[in-house]
Amino acid sequence: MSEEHNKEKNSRRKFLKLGILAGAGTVATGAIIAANGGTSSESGEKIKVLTTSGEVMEVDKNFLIQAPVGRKESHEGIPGRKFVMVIDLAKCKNARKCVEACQRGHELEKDQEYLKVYLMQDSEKTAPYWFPKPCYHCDNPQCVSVCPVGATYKRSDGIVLIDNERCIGCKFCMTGCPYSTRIFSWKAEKEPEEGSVYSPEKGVPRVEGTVSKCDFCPDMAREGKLPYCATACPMGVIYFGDIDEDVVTNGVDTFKFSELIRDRSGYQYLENLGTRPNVYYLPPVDRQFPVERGYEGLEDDIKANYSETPFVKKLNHREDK
Amino acid sequence: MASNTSDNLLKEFAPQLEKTGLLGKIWIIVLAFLILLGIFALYWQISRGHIVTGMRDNVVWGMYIVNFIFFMGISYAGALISGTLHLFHAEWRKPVIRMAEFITIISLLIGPLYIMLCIGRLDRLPNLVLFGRIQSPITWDVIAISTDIIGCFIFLYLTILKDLSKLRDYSELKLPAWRKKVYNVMALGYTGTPEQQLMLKRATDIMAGMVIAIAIIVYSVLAWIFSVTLQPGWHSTIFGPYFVIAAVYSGSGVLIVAMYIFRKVYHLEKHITQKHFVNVGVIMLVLAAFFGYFTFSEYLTKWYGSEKNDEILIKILFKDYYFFFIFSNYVGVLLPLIVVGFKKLRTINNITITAVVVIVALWMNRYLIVVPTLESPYLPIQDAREAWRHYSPTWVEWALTIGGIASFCLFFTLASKFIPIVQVSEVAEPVEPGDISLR
Amino acid sequence: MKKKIFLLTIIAIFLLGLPSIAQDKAAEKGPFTTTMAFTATSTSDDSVQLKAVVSVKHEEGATFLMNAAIDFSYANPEGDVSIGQAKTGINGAAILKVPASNNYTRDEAQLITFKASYAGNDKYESSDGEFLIKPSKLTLSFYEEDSIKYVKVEGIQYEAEGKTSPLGGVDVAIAIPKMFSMLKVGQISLDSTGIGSTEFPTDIIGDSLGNLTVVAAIDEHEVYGFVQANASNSWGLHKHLISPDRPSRELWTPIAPLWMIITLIIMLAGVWGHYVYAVVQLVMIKKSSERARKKKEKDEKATA
Repeated sequence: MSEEHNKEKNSRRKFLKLGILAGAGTVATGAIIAANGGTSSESGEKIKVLTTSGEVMEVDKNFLIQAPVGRKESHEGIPGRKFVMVIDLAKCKNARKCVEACQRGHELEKDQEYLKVYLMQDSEKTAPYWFPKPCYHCDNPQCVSVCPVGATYKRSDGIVLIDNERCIGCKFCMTGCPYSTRIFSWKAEKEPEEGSVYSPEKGVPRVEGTVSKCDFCPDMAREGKLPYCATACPMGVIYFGDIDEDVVTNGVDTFKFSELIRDRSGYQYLENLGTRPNVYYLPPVDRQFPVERGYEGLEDDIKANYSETPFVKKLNHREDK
Repeated sequence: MASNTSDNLLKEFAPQLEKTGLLGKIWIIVLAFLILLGIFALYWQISRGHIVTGMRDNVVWGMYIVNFIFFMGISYAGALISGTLHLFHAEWRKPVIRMAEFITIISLLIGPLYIMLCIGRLDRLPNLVLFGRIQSPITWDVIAISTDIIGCFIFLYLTILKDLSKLRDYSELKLPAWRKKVYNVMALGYTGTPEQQLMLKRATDIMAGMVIAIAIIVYSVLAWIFSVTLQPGWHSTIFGPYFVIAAVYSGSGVLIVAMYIFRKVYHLEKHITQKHFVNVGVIMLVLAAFFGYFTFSEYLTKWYGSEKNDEILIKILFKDYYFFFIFSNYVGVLLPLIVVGFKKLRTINNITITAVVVIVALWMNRYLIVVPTLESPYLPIQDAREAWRHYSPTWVEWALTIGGIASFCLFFTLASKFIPIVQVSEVAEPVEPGDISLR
Repeated sequence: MKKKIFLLTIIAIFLLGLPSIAQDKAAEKGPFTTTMAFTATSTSDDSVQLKAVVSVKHEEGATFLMNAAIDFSYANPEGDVSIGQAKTGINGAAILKVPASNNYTRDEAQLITFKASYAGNDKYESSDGEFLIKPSKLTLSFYEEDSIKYVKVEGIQYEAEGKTSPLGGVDVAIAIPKMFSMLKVGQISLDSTGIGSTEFPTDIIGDSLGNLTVVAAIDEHEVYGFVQANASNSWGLHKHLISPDRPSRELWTPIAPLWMIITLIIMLAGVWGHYVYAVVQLVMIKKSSERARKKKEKDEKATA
């Protein structure tokens, strides 16, 4: 596939996003800024906001995005929803756009990953493949079971969240999770902005000495937006949706969840552990990219992450020769 | 007369309580210095965050948890050994039982401190009570340990009550007035009337049984913290009994070392003889056999079944932790079997050296249970950062470990300055009649 | 032609999004470049909806511009004729509806050229967009035949001078709006009379009463641009609001399973009961000693 073709594909994807069938034309994300703050007269009450470009301006209170829900409400879950994610391993080429978008969205450092992309090889003779791994938001969540203070909890919409203002940092959930999903704040984190209200749905900024993890972006879902990772993936690997609605989408294509799982032999990872994950994988068959494509273009320090995998060892061995 | 002998005994033990020699003072100062070092490390950890430890996202529990299990384990020395010996009326127990009880209480006070060092937000500790969920093994642990501490205090108090009354009544004791007052209050006016003796006996018998039961529960709960998780190295049904056996085993080792040191320092050669070392040594031998058996079952099934993750774990154990594994699970099991097993080898020195080896081996055993498992999760660790792949403790963790051991020694020394290290009243009493059956 | 312009606009948005350019812009500290995505959609209420979305590019991506006044107009050989003005809202979109049946100037292909422009101010640069469309209309209806459910679409197009004619030879997608996107459930090719129908699936999950909103849409057509019509039916499966299998007393729920609570209470009661017994014995020792002391004092007094 030529570079040219890819570009066209990408731009076409952006184009499609404006179409009726793609739903909301989400070109821009993030906060809203006002063109001329003074003229709006909707509520009369003005609030100063800092735009992402670093300038302060006044915005009418009515125009602000819905504030993230508080700690108490965050226990409830979005009514009538049960979220599910489907990850299409056949399309993943480890472009890492999901990881980067997630880190931006959750204000993570470069070495903190809620979503990790593993280079998996099930056994010696099987083929290696890229394996993005978010939190599985299990229906039998071990992490929630072992939490001594109820700081991590499962909501009616299936999402497992962490209340960083209650967490005591015992790290039992981290050993309880068989999928190594959770990360700990080992050192001081950014101070919260003055006057800002903490919400477990957003989880930003993190709190030193507590645990955090992938949260399926419930604050985005409340606005009808897909999680950062799903939107960012150039290949449309990550599908997200409401399993009670039986629909998942990657922002471009929309499928019936049950049909997608049936036609593509979807499976859950290590489901034999009885965790009942809410993330499904489509096996890496009829791949769109050779696995090398995901390795060659990486930065050196990210490449080093995979240095112990049999595939990379073999690759390096070949190069040495 | 009994009281006469106990007065004689008190006269013998009075110097321990009355004054501290130069060597003793140096000893206390050194310990205090080591504890200060630990406190500095703690300050360092609190001010810089947990990043100063060797723990990272994969190995989230390190030496603190190892020490926690270890100290909780040796607290077993008193609970099981003194409780059982009390119930079985083993006559020879009398000179050593007090030490065992001290070991229990002191290690029980130090052990939980380590779990707190591991907690990221100490300021939120009250949440454990405010929002406690009883589904969490940590909640079980909080309940069990606090119950255990209170039970052991009651038991210890019951066993020192007679000695307190003796100390109160012993007029020749050269001690400051406040200490005599403390003895007076704590003795509860016990004078040893038949009525009081019966009450004390009833309470002590009940508590001896209780302490054994609680200790088993506490240690099983501790094991369940690990075995309820799905981690390949931890998710094992025998972890409860395995931990209990390992705990008593390490406790017997610490008891022997304590016997050796106090025998030397306080010149107790008359009371603690080779017989005592051999008897406790035999207990250690039996426990060594049990421990070896459990260890063997644990790893045999993992190795034989060779499930993918079990295989990875065993590979790590025999590759990265080869020395640890051989020392803790071979030397630590076989040495007591050989040394105590052969009559010719059963000298006080040999048994004590073996006990030291057992203590170190058991500490390593806990390390092998905690760390390598966390280094081999289901999903392979794909991280370039060395600290994320392999755990290695930092100076902070070492300082706090040494500080914990030092506080154990210091508390032990101070306790022996307050109450005679040998049960004065019991040792002086004639052989108990066999009329009180086992409850 | 119009499609090309549209594509160009989009590519421009895409290119502007490239970090290098965005960084240059950010370094200048304004005025910031704005981009506009402009579309025209024929809706089923006989109107054309003009929608302009304005966003600001900066180093971290794009941000919607709110409260920007957008001027809408249509092209005329003598110069653009203004239709009206609207302000962008929270999602950066300014929307203006105009009647589908109108006498706006058309080109030789019967297309109306709609224009939108944002004048800009000292902080934000101006931007504009153009969209060519021939107004049309879809009507959506449902019927059942031999217990098979069908969806039917009728299309008309608006010629100049208010006349209409059948909208034939185009493909219409049938879709159902879901939480994050539209689920396409069928496709209908309209025949020369502008009518088409297809079987409606029976396994779509609706709301809790089984109601479905169905959308018929033509996307990015060369002549008709965007066309959309909505209708509702109750042919969907019922959606449960809270999963009926959601348990209340599990290991992971806030409330513990009953057996755990019972076991804990029994164990604690057993252990603490014994503790209390031992402490009571101690209290009794204390009391007995006090009794003995009092008796002794009494005896001493008596002897004295």
